Amino acid sequence: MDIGELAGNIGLEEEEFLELVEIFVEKSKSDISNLQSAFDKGDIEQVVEAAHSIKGASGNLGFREIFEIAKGIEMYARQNIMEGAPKAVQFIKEKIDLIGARLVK
Amino acid sequence: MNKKIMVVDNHPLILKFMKDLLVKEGYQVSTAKDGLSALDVLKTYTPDVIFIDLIMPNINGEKLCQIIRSMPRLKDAGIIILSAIAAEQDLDYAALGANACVAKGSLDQMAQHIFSALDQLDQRTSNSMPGTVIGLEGVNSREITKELLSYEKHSDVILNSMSEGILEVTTESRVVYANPAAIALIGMPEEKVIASDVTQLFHETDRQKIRELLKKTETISQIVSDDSTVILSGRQVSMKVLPVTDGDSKAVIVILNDVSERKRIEEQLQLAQKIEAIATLAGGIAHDFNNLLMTIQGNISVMLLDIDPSHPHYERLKNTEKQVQSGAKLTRQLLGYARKSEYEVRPIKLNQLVEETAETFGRTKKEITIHRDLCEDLFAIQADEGQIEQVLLNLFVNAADAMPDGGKLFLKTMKTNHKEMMPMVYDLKPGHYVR
Repeated sequence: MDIGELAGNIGLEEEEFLELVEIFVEKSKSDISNLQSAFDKGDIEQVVEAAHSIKGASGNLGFREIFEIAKGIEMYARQNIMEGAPKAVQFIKEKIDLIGARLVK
Repeated sequence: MNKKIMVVDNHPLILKFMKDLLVKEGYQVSTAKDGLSALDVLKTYTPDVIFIDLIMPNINGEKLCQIIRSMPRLKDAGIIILSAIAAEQDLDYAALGANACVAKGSLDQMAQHIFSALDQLDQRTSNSMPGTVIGLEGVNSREITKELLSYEKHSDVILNSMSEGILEVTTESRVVYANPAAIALIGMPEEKVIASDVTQLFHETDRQKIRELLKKTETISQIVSDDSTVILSGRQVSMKVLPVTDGDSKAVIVILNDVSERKRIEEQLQLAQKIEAIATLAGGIAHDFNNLLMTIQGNISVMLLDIDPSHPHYERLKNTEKQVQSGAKLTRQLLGYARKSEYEVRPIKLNQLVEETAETFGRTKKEITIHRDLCEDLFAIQADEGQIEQVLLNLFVNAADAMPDGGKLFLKTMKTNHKEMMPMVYDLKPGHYVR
């Protein structure tokens, strides 16, 4: 993952991009914890909302992988399908932790 | 050019991105994280252009547009819708009162679309603009959002047709949603209700109560019961308050039920019951009073029999008797009034009734001998016992009046049918009768 390239893809300076990524990581962490509590409660509306939020922001920044997975979670949740969703969220969480780790450096 | 721009979006990423982007271009930018905070900022801030996200907590974009468009001060402000949803349906943003619409996508594309939307706004001569959404290419989750919209429409239909008023209130007591029934109950236009302090909608005397109630919902689901109604624009309203948690945001749902009509009917019922009780009481007193008068009447009659009309007290006794009789008439009226509503037609034994009334009557008129010839296997009759009793007594009294010097009274009951009775009574239904 080349930060310079990712930033260039969406026409931003590396520094600007990193600031936005930091916000993204922070907000996504709260979205993820909302997702997890929503699974426990079976609250589909909350699943949809949180996945929608992650989807939008990852799309903005060009994180295609996270975007596609979040989109899938949102779409299936709307059809009342939650199987596999916790696993998908776990995957997103790992990805975001990775991005977060890069920021620290 | 130092235009003032406001951005309303619930994602901090978009707010940060937009602010940096627009400040760099020399705009003055303020941001808000939802519709409610936007309205707070707009109280003192008059931007030239407002970017609004459609899906937000605490007053969504659609409602926010509607409220902004009802504010005269902001009538010249351009509104640009900023949402992923815009791409996925044929959004009629003009109907929302917006001037343009930008679809969300990757940030570089968004940046371009934002500037072209701002250019479009600059060039507008009137409010009418070509109804296209800028930046539709590259956004492709059409189906998802169609479902989201249909989902929202379902709950809209339910909320719109409920007779209960539903309010959504933030933990700071601000109204962020009100269904049509709630708007009607409150009696103010929607744009005034939204973002207002919910306690201010209620009557002064109830405000403290509402505040305490909302405070309680922080820990438990608290319900105000029907018998402690609150006053809402002159109506009596029962209130249920339910806290809801949605992710990390908390809100309170207030359910309002207009019980004015029910309370009014309850009061009427209580009044009617009270009147009925008084009527029964009056009936009872009238009955006792009548008995008392009858005793006086009896004694006077006996005295009058014993004394000669030339006796100095004769006239006085006669007068007293007359007075007693009009007193008895009054009590009869009162009795009839009290009983008016309680006629009860049911099967009764006529013979028993005849025996009883004859017995009572015989005690007051000793000079009359009563002879009974009652049919042993008489049919039961359908009638109101009190009425028949009255009829019998009247018959006896008439007979006695016709025999001032005493005599014989014959009481006879017998079975008959409609044919035998035909010459006397018309329009009889065929069947068994008693005479």
